[in-house]
Amino acid sequence: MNVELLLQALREVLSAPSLDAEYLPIDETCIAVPAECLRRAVDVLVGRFRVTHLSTITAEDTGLEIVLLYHFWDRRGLTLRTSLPRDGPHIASLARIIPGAIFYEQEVAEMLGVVFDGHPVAASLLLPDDWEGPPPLRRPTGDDV
Amino acid sequence: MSRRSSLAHLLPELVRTLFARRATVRFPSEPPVLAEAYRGRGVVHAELCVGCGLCVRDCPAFALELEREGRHRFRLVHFEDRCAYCGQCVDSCRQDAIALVSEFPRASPCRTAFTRVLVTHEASEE
Amino acid sequence: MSRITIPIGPQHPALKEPLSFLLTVEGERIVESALRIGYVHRGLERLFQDRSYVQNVHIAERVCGICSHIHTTAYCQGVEALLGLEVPRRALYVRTLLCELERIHSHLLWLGVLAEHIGFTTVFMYAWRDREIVLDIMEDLSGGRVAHAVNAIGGVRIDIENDHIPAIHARLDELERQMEMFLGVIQHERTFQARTRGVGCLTQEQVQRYCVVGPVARASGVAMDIRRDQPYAVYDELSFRVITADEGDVWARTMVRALEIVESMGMCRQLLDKLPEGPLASRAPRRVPAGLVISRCEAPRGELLYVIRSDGSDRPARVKIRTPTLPTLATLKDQLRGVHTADVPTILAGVDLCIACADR
Repeated sequence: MNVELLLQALREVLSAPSLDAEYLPIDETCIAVPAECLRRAVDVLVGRFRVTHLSTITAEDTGLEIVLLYHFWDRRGLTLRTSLPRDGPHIASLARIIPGAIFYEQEVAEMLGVVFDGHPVAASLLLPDDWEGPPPLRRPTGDDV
Repeated sequence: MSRRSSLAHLLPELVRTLFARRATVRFPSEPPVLAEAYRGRGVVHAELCVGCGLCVRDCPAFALELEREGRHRFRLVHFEDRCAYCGQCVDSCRQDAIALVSEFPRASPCRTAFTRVLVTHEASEE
Repeated sequence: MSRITIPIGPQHPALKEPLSFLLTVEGERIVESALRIGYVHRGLERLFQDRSYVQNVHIAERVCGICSHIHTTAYCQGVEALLGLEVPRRALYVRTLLCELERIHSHLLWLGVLAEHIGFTTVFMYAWRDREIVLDIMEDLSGGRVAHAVNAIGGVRIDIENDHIPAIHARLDELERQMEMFLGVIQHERTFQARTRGVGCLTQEQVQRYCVVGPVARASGVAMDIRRDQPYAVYDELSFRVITADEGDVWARTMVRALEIVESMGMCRQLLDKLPEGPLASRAPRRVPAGLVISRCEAPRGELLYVIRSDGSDRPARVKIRTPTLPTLATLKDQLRGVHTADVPTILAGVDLCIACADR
């Protein structure tokens, strides 16, 4: 997958001419997209560039926002980064484009309280069914990074 | 890839196994066979330990505690029941004072048996 | 015919680790299944945030009992990248050697478990007996059969004495003879073939849809292997084949793993023969500059990811672990649909689940 071609395609589809990639260790390309555009960006990746392997979705509550990292793999790593507000975070589910995303979204939902619109499963993945506390990976309010 | 039938592979193996030595070690009546590098019981060379606490800080299991009273009075306590025998303390120590020796940690019905004082320094002030 | 729902687990004699299945059967056939994991979820990702980078090496080691070394490899590699630390070559050789020895022991363990699940107890016993050869090598080197405590941030904590190398080669020779026996048996034993061929089939399309990795993916023709695609440690200096198959059934997975053992033995020999002189570790600062790293390794079960974000302190702000078993679990619904109940243990064994890894 050619990063330049991918950037061109994303800039066009998302109407974001200033979209650019940064490079992270280890040999990873990272592109930041707004949350409402993530689904369209993945459509481009899967539909036009045939990148189907989603390694996982990393989520972190930094205290200021919830950062989501979608790690793709096509002989090299490609991460799409996006962020959501800590209050009422929700984003489109990728379940229908990439069924492999279902478990990863389920885990982010239960650990950070993110809602994935259109996600087919409402149950917990790792937490017990009777879990009553706040999502475990949320920082307690009052903490900053 | 060999073209012999599976029985032709298994039968010699069966014969070999029939005449093999017993592998079971009848512990505890026979001593355990430990590798030289086995990370067992923790010991400290008291004369080398300066009570700096680096081992305490780096222990992932919080199995070491340092009780200090001034510069020359301290005790290093090891909680064997928390210890993961990872050897991080050995790496962290700058005096080479602590080691995990090839000795099998013993079981005990009493939990307090697992709290061991590794070093006691009570030298009087100069 | 009426439908019956059979609960299996979380504790069950056929399961090595706790997970829960609800199998809906009609006569002898499974019509639907539901899966529940999380029984050994220990909250390790959260635990990582409360300990220093140094302490966390040992937490990473204990995510999984079988593949402890690859976890510390992925973790240390990530932290070393954030530190911009160069690891000495001799250390990388030792690290890689343990990675491959671990792959061999994991695959042999798996071979025994699969054999036991299809009733071939003889191969189970022989596989676990011969696995001792590899465990003895690892124990002599590190003091531990598993949980070797070999990796440190910046390098390794053990050395390989030159006069021990012939002894390791001799043990690998012994294992090579045994692998010939195993390959001969599983290739020619008709009941083994009858129980594994055509069972648990996954097409290449299904593997890609669920983002499956490792031997299960390779047995369905998806040639993904991080060791070749993004070489870490010293894999770029080793010559090895990535084993794939096309049938996508339990038989293909068996052949892939058995041949991977042979490849791994070859890699171990190369590592021992080319072991360079030099130090065993670079000194690592306790504080890690702020940054983000995505560290990938090829665990015995497939792609393992450690995503680490540092905030400049001596503790990681976030450690995310994605273990290879997780995407494989997603395929079980498809694999179990329409099969005989007698094939359920074979299918579960065939995918080489590591629930400790999946749950963390």
